[in-house]
Amino acid sequence: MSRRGVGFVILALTALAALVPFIDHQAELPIWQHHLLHAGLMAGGALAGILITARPRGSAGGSGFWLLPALLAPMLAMFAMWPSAYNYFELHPLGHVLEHIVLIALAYITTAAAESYAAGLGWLIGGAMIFMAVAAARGFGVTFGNGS
Amino acid sequence: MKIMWTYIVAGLTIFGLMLLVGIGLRASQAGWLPIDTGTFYSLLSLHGVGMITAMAIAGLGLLWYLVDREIKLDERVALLAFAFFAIGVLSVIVSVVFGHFGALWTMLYPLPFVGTTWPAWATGAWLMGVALVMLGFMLICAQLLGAILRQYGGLGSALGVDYVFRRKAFEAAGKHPPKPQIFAATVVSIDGLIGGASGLLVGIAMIAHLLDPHVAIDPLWAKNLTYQFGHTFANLTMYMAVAGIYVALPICTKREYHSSVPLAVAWWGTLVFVIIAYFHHLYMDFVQWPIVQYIGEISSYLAAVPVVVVTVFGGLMLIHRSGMKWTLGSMFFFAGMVGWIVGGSAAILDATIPLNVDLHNTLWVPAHFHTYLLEGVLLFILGWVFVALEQRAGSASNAVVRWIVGLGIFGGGAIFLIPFYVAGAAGVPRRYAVEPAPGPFWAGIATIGALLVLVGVLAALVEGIRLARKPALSVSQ
Amino acid sequence: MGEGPLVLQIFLVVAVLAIAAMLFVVLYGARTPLPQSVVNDAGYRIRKIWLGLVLFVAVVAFAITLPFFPYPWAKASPGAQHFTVTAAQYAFVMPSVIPANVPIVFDVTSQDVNHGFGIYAPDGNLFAQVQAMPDYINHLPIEFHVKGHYTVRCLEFCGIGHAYMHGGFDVR
Repeated sequence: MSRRGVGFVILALTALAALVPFIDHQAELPIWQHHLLHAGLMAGGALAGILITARPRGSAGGSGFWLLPALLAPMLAMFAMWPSAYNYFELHPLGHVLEHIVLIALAYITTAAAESYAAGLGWLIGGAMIFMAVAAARGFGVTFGNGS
Repeated sequence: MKIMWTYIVAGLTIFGLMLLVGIGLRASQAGWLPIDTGTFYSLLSLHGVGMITAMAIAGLGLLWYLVDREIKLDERVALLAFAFFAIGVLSVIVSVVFGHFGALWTMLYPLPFVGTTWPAWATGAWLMGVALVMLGFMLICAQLLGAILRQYGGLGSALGVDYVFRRKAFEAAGKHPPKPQIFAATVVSIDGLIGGASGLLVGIAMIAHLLDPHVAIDPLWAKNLTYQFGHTFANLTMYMAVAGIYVALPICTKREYHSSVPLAVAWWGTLVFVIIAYFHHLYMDFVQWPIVQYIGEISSYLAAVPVVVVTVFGGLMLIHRSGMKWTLGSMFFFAGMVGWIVGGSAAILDATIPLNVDLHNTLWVPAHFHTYLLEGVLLFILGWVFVALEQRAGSASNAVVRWIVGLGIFGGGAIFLIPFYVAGAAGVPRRYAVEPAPGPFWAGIATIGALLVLVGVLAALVEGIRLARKPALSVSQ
Repeated sequence: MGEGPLVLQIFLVVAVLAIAAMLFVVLYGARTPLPQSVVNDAGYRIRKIWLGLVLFVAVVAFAITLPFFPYPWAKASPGAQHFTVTAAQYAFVMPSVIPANVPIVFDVTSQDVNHGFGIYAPDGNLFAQVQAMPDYINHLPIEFHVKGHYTVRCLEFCGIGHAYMHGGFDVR
């Protein structure tokens, strides 16, 4: 299968995973686990974005303005991981699935835009985005204090 | 050239304004200037974020130009990034001047939300301003990194991996490693994107908390991200400016600076250590994961190795018995290397955990980073500017001007910096509007030193304008 | 542990040596230039030794400092007496008397923002410190051998009253 083909398969699998709240919407996950699952969905979207868009290494790149969506989309994704909205989404599966699709789309846009500017850049900016999503689990919306 | 000068002039202008703010702050601590506590912290917030931004903007201008010489870059992207910087700086100024924001540039959560004396919109304007500056910074980083990846066909080649490990085959194929300034650009871009990601994450969490106080934030997590971002951003201003050494010192010394295996490996070290050295900001957080305290100390030590063994050592080798003429440009480069080493030594003492107990958050901290920024980063940028001006005009400044500038910036600089060290070693805390003894006495000495620095800076400004207005020597540039 | 003045002396010596060495390299023989290849040959040889020396100093310095880490997990203090310190804008709530010559652990936390719990010895030198953080308790193991009044100052910027946030206790 071609690189693009693999990319489409990953995108399809990630989209399927995004539908989980339709099946199991009773699960009340702690916020940090929820963040990590979202990071997983975003990793799928990001990987698909790279594989589907990928140019051959060293090829002439596209416009530098691709960098704007590549940098703004991860920021929007962090806002889409608004922790105090998680309770609401656990009661509203449709909204929850929509949130998942937004996250996957933003991750896809991030790496696809970065790859459109330069081959290989999607891995680095995508990596920084996944770092943000995973790191969010340690303190965005939760606190792990040892006392008081 | 247009982009470079736009960035450098903007950066140096902000520097000049922040220098005046800084003198006011030291004079206030000396008891010579009546500034109320609230205003003091607003101005200190402005001074801190303004100086780092000034150095970053000027440094990025230099780095952008150096990469553009090797790989054509789109000027419009740099102008867009500049617009982000401009709006960000404006937003910060509005937050401070009209909103009286005063949580300092580290804005350590939950500080900007608890017990504040300013309105919530000022916190919002500050966070938005800093986020815009970060966005501009990351835009340039991504532009440089993408262009480098394109040119060298991947990160491995851009970092010289095949050159280091398969050198014979590499050279037999007639290939050349990337130029030294490309290593600097690659490392600054990657670390900049990582630091930026940390900053944006904690910034977005704080914006979310501002809009919806139900969004909890872990204070230890926020502290880690804040310093990962803050330390990396501040530290990288040096590595941006350092790229100038590789290009300008060879011009001054009429010698060549080539990429070598040690240089490549040194930059790999810098790539890693700049990201993790921030742990030394959390030595006094005893709940921090133990292993990172060890990593923090050893990586802070090892971060010095590329500097003292490769970059500064190589710079001194260039100058040694080269017959280099002392012009303002070459003088700034040499003095910048001295400042870098001296400030770095102070940093290493502070990064030693048993000594950090005595120095953490005392005036020792501003002592080391003022040395590093004022007598390091700034001098490399000024050196770059003057080497360019001297080249263009085909003439240099006379000895009187050199003495005035040198005595002001280096002599005045020492009088300005030593009080920070002495008071810091005596345990005077940093960020005190009113300091315990012996703080005020040393603040007075520092104020005099800072005024001498101002004289030196003004003399350099006048001399820079004089050189810039001379007719260009030829079209050699 | 109150080593501030010693650190200053070390720093001044290192700074003066570094400046002198750099000036020497730049000024020595400046009037009789040499070709770059000659300087490089000698320079690269010196650099190898220099690299070894720098790495050696870094590793040895690291090893020497290890036993002096101030952390509770690095310092066994069985049977220590615990004292709670609670910081809040802009004061410390803590005991006013601490016993001398017995192991102590300060359990330090904050009610609002980050503060720093900085203990100054009777001679005025900074003696020990730990951060005071909301949601977390930092344990500071320590033992006082010198009796007298210890001043406590806030060592993390905590707002407009930061410079006025201080207290103290007596060690008897």
